Amino acid sequence: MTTEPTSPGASRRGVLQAGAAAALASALPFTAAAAMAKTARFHKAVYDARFPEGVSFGAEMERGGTPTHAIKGDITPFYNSLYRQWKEAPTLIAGLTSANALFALELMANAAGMRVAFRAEQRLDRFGAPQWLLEGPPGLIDAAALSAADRDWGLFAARLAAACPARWSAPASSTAACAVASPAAVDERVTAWVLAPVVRI
Amino acid sequence: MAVLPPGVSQRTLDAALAEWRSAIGSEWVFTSDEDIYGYRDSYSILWGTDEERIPSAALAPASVEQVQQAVRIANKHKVPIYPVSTGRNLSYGGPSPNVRGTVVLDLKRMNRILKVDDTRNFCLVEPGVTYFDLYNYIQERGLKVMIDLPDPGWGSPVGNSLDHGVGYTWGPFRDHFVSHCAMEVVLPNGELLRTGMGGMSNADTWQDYKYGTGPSTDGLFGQGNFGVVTKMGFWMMPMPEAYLRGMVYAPKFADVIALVKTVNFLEDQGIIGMPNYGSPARTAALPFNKPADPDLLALMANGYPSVEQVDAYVAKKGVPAWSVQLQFYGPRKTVEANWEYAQAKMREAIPGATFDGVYRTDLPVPKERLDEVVLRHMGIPALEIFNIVSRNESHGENPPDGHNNCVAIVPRTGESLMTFSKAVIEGMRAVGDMRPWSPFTTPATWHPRTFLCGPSVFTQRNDPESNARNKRLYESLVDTYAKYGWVDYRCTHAFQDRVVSKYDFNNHALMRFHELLKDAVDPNGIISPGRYGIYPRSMRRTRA
Repeated sequence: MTTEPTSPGASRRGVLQAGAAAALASALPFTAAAAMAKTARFHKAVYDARFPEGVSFGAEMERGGTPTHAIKGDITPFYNSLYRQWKEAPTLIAGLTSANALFALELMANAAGMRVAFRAEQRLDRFGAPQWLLEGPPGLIDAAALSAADRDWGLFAARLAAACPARWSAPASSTAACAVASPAAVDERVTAWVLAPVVRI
Repeated sequence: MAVLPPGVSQRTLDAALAEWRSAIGSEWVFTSDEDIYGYRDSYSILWGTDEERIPSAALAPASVEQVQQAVRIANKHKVPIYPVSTGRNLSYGGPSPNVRGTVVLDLKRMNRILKVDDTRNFCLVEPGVTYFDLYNYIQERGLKVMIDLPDPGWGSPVGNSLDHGVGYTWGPFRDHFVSHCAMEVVLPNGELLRTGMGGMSNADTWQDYKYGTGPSTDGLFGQGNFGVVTKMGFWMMPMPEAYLRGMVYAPKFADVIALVKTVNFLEDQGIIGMPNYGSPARTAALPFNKPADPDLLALMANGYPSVEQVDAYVAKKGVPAWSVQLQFYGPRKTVEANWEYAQAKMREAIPGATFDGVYRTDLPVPKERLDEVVLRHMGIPALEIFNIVSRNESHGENPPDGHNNCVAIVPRTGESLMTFSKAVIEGMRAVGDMRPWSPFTTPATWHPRTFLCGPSVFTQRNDPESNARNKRLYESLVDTYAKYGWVDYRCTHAFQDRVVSKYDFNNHALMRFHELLKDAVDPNGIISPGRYGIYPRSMRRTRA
């Protein structure tokens, strides 16, 4: 599913919210307990503590038993520790950081046989209103788009990450955009993501 | 996305791939779209166009012997290969080849640190070693040497120096090709060569003395395509005892002449490390994340302003025209004395010079002070440079994915800096780019003997029109620079032919000599065809 960018005050947002509950009930295992149990499969989660979404994301990951690493902008120390780990073997990780921090990790991940399996990036739509641009497996994205508006995005992103497949097998085939009420740091292009090992056939 | 090298059939490529699989293992020969994606240049200004330099396949040998086999197979089938160390030189082509369809020879599995000596202060490494690897190795063993590194620390010392990459500390070390000493190279026929003292099999001075006896051939392998470098040595700085930095401010526009002269005097004596030029007036004129100052727009509205007009602008803003951060490395007493001396020389040269921003630390920097320093100035690998592509008002709603630096080699004088902005504006306006620009050019000083000046031209993977526009801008800047005798010190593939075409002395004698060598050393043209404009005979176009 590909949706058009949202616009401030447009009726699309209301439609999304109206449909959210029903869609979620059938499409995503988003009870808190189920999502928390799944976060434990991550080798590590990294979050940028400058963003409220990041703090919320990290807290949810910790509740689920995932070891976390907090940064404040600079990804270098985390990159270096992961660099050593990925020389041994690729491991599933999740994060909520700036897009720039993800860029550095993504190039390293590509070289280690991994890909971005899920991405939710904060962008501005053509009217200058902030939105989350979602990209990932169809089932996850279709339902997430319907339930995303006005949520605690850090918490929600952690649960989306938990619901994402642990192995990457095909390029993201679904994208969607949904509005966000109160962006924390638009300039940083806050992004939630999952880096997963590639399944080789 | 199937692509083939020029003049190579699918059948021939398949035959070569089969032999490569046998030689280095099928799991290290990559042909799927997903695998090839990782060898595209994320910063390519040609992204998604028919001109994008996409490889047909990639190979990742693990040893010198496997590289030799891979090269011999390439030669047998006349399939071109493009060696990369780690493929991280973003802005300059990344892991992608010059010519579409060329097979990437990825050397990142050759990642052994063979030697780090803190008595004679050198290292010997393979191409797949990254700056992080080298730094971690030194830390784990408590060795007393400092690395000089480029902006992102994820690249390879071998790859960076071969691309004439640069760093941030002391002059002799931050020109990474100059600081190399020793090369091992697989030639296009598969033969193994060692340069300098490596040519003598029992010499223990391979990483100490560059030249050996007779001609020095190392230069051919920097920005060249005459072989595959499989080992390199580098001279390293012994870890200094202390670091001090201080700021100098010069009030008037024309003060830049005396400022540069004095900084050159200090650096060329070995008193300071890399100077960092700035301009408070430019910051006022073009504030980050905000629109240009209306007074600047008025200043630049009626032709290029005079020195008096610029000084009137500077006076109105109430800030100094120029600044330079001086950095000192060495014994505690010496760095203090040198800072005192530098201030005295600046006072002599520049009426009204002022000073502040003094910062001191022991080296290596204590952990609790790492937040206070620029890591790369301290020889610590970092990735903070990636913050430059954040969204801001100058980037608009669709911030760039990358950038290509259009950076020219410019004489190290204040007069050059006063002229440079004029040239950039000329180059921009020639293609209708009307963005605001200021008269205050602040040079990069990565190379110790020249300035490197010029803007970054941004790239956007989802916006081919913007890329096409920026490509025209880059080309216009290259052409304009050449009128002034300036040319890019390195550049991404899309512009290399244009840049080297500016070396016109005696009917391009330099390129003709390179081509003569290419034909002799690599008659089948299998190593990196097109790199910095050097094509094999089969691909060579008639030069006008």
